[in-house]
Amino acid sequence: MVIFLNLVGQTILAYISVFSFGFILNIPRKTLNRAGIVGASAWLIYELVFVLTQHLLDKNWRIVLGTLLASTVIGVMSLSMSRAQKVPVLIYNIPGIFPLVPGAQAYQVVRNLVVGNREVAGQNFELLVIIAGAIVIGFWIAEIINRLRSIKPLT
Amino acid sequence: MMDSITTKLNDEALVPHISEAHLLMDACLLAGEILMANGSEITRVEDVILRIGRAAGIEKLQVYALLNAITVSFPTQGLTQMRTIPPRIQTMDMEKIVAVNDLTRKFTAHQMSLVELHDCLSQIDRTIPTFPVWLQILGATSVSVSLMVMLTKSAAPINLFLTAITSCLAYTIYLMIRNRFNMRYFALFVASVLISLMMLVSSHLFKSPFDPDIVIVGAVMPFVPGVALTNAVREIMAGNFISGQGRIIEALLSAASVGLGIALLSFFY
Repeated sequence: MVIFLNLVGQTILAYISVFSFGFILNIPRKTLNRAGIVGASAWLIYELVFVLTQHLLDKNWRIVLGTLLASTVIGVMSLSMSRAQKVPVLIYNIPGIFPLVPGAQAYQVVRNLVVGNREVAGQNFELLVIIAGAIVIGFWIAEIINRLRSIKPLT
Repeated sequence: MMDSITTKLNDEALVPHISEAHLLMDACLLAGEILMANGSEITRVEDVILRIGRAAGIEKLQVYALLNAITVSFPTQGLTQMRTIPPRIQTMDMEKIVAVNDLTRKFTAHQMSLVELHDCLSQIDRTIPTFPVWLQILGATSVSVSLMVMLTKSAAPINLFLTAITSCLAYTIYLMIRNRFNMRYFALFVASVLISLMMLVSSHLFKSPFDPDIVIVGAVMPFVPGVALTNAVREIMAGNFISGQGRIIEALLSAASVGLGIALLSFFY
C-alpha cells in the first residue's frame, strides 16, 4: 500500500515537473497537458522497474533497465501524440525525457572533481555514460516499434 | 579610373536580379536559420529545406548544415548561398520550431504561395508568443521542487521551502544576466554561486532535517545540461559527427560552469 501511494505520488510529481518544464522550453499551449502525460507515464515505468527488480539486480543495472524501458515508452507515445496534434515529435520527446536525463550527474562530476572526491566523480561519470547510452538505445527500439506499426513521423 | 570601377559594381545590370529562385533560396535559408537558432537537430533542418525545395520543383537540391552555418545549393539554377547563424546562446524555443513546421507543411501542400511563405518566415520573431517571464520563473521553481522530491525521495518541509526560494532567485538572476549581456555560461556560473551562497547562509541558520546536498540537487535542476547531453549523443548516433561534438562541448561547458559555481563556496559548509 505504501509502495502504491508512493508510485502515485511520484507520477503526479513527474506530471507537474514536465508540465512546468514546458514553460521553460516554450512549447505550444495545447501540447502542455499531453507532454505532461508522456513524462508521467515514462517516470511511472521507470519507478516500477526500479521497485520490482529491487532484490534481483545491481543498482546501476536497474537504472539502465528502467531508463531503457522508459525512453522506449516515450518514443512510442510521443509519436502517437504528435500525429494526433500535428506537431513535430520533438515537442513530446524533449520535455518527456527531462526527469530521466543525467543532468545532475554531469554537474556532480565537475563538482566532485573540484572538491577532490575522485571516487564519487568517477561513479557519477559512469552513471552519466550508461544513462545517456540507455536513452539513445531506448529511442532506437521505439523507432523500430514505430516502423513496425507503420506510422511515419511528420516533419 | 577607380571611380568608374566602384560605380560599375553598383550598376543596375550587375545587381542580382531578384528572381523566383532567389526568393526560394532566401526562404530556405531563413527556415533553416530559425530552426537551428532555436535548438532543432541537424536532420530536421536538412529535411525541412529539402521539402521546401522539392515542393517548389527544384531538382537535385543540396543542403549542408552545421551548428553555425547553413549552405544551400540549387545545381541546375547555378545558385549557391551560405547563411551564418549568430553565435548561439543555446535556448530552446519549441513554439518557433512548430511554426516553421506548420508553414512548411502548408507550402508543401500548395496552400501557400512562395511570397507568403517568405513573409511569414521573416515575421516569425514578432508573431510567435512566448510565456511571460514570471511564468517561466514559476515553472523553474516547480521543476526544482518536484524533481528534488522525485530524485532524493525526501520531502522535509524545510528543504522544500528552501529549494523553492533558492531556485526562484537563481533562475531570475540567470534570466537577467543572459538577456542583458548575452553570456550564457557566465549567467549559469553566477546563478550557481548564488545557490551555493544561499546554502552557506542557511547552513548556519537551520538544523538537522535541512541538508544542503538535497536542496542543491533540486535547485540546480533547471540549469544542468541533461537534455543538451542527450541531444548531443543522439546527434552523433544520427551521423552528424561535427555538430554532435560541438554540442557535447557545449553541454560540458554548462556542466563545468554549474559545478564550479557550486564548488566555489562548498568548502565552508
